[in-house]
Amino acid sequence: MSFKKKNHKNARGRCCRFCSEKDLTIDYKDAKVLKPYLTERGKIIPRRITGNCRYHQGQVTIAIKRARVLAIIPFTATQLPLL
Amino acid sequence: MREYETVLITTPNLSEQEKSDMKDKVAGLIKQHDGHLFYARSMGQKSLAYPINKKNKGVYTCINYAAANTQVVNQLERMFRLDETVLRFLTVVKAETVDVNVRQTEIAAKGEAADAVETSAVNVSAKKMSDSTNDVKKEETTSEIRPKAVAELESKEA
Repeated sequence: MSFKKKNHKNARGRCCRFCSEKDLTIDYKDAKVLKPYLTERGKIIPRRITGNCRYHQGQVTIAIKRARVLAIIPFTATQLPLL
Repeated sequence: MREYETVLITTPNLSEQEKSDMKDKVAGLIKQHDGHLFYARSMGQKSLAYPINKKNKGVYTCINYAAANTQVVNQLERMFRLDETVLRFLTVVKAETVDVNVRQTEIAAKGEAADAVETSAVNVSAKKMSDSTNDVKKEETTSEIRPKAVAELESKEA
């Protein structure tokens, strides 16, 4: 029974977005796809929170790092222009 | 043959002549080394996430090509490094093996080689850009409901 209870925790519908939506591609040129995987400070959100599978989290990480080099997304929040 | 993709950021105030010169140079270099240029498309002018060389805006160009050896990449990158109008570039291997004809038809089918709309007219594009960026921001804030854990993580960081 306790096992069932534990399983219930996962019933929040947390699953890898890229596995469930096959047409979604991870592209380092597209900031829109990468934004949900960044905190406000620009850090990469870990897999245990995003719910991505290991493979896709790796892909997202690589894409984010490439996008940072190309100034598509910032390295840190301090790089944002002060308004 | 390997398939490569190079994205480069150039300064925003380039003339049409300079832009076409650059494209010709790239095409010539790739041809010279027996490579194959699939497309060199403009991704439009974008504001940079952080200033590069004291510039806040840049024009993005995406070059997709196939090359038999690394000479092409080396020469291209050397050219970009020497060019002062190029702010930054990044080369990525897209595929270890590529069939030129198959890839060509695939690009044509998907319409990947199309230029960004913003490049057609400068004034209109600037307006469009600002509009579209606003839209994106709105979408993000409304559609995306962040999990609680993320909020906690952010508060910790702050």
